[in-house]
Amino acid sequence: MSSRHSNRSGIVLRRHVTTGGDVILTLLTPHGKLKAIARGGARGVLQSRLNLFQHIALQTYATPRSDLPTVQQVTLEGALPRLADPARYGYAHLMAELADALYQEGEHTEMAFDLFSGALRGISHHADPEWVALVMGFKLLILAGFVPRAVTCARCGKPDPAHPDVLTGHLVCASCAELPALAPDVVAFLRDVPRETVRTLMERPLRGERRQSLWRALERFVGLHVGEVRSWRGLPHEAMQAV
Amino acid sequence: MKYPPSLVALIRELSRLPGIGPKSAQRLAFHLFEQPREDIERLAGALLDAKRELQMCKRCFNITDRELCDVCTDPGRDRAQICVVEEPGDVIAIERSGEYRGLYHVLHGAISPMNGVSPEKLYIKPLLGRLRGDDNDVVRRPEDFEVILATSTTVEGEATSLYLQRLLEPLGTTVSRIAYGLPVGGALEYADEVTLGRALAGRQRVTK
Ligand SMILES: [Zn+2]
Ligand SMILES: [Zn+2]
Repeated sequence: MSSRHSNRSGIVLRRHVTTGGDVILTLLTPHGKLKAIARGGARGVLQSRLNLFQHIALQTYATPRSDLPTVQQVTLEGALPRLADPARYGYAHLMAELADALYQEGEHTEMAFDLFSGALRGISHHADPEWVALVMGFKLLILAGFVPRAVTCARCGKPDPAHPDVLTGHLVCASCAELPALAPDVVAFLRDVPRETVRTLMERPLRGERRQSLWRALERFVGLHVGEVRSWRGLPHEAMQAV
Repeated sequence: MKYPPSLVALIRELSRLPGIGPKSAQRLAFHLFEQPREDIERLAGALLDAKRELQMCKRCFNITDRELCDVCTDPGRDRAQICVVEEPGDVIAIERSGEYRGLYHVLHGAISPMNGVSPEKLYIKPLLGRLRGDDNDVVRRPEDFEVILATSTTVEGEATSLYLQRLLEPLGTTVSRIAYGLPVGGALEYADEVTLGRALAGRQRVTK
């Protein structure tokens, strides 16, 4: 096999079908992000394997003339069909969009891959996919180096801040604050999320209004570090808020 | 060497078409330049005519050159059946199968939050209107309709289908999903694992 061939395995973050029937895939692999094109993939025998959120193994071939490696063979390593469930679907999109924005091409991110695939599995199987998405959303950001400041005030450095900062999602102290204080367990979550394991965080779900304030914190934090995220509008919890 | 402005403009316009990159746009521009004038005039005329005459059917959102499309105005069609598809091309594919005698509804896409496609961006509201009997002299109540969900079998198509299912079932409408099948005339051994799995899950009883 020539050096132009490569074998990679990863999860499909994005899938775009061109008018010519080619499928352009963005995958998150244990070795970073990968973009590849499956020529005629929207019509060929490979199409069922080139689906969003599927874990696939690819053999690609890099031609000197094209910027994207061409997919030659695909095998399916795992599918999570329950992600199409309206109660889960939007969260999976949010995770994929975050992973796509946070982990750049060529970066070595074995932990990012494990975290992201764990997030999708959790959203697919867990009875509370919304809580999985919240915990994993923060974890994906933290792994990329964006840690919410919750131990000392993000503006003046005083200990034990409890108020959300409008712009950044960090916590600030009473004298720096413009917004009312968060509930103690919301503050505790923001303080603990960088150092606690996913398992521990999953065992202590917050609900109702507290969960809403965590979503707002995540939204502000993502807005600051990632920029525009289109999936927010597709989240079921937003629909519930609107009711 | 610099290209003349009119060539630059042509390349720019062509490269705005979906699936056409700068290189293909350049190739197309040179190709067009070499064609006889009559051919170019025919092409330009066809583009303008299409833009002027084609529109979406007011009822089913298929592409048509009249207010209502051929299917919607065909008196021989079963007006209690509505087959929901993602794109106008899907209508043509189903028509070619010759198996279907009902009406259609084209959503113009599938739900995809990461691409900014929410349910409100699709033609779902007018579908609900049709089930309430707007524009239908024969069938007027949601519970008298059968809606056949024929969105694609991608994750996006599945999600759209499940969304519609949850939306329509409380109305009392009969909702069905097209079956996942194996390619006719193909050997099982060559079928891919996803299709084969779905075909097994959606098996049909053949004995009474
Ligand atoms: Zn302060
Ligand atoms: Zn019509």
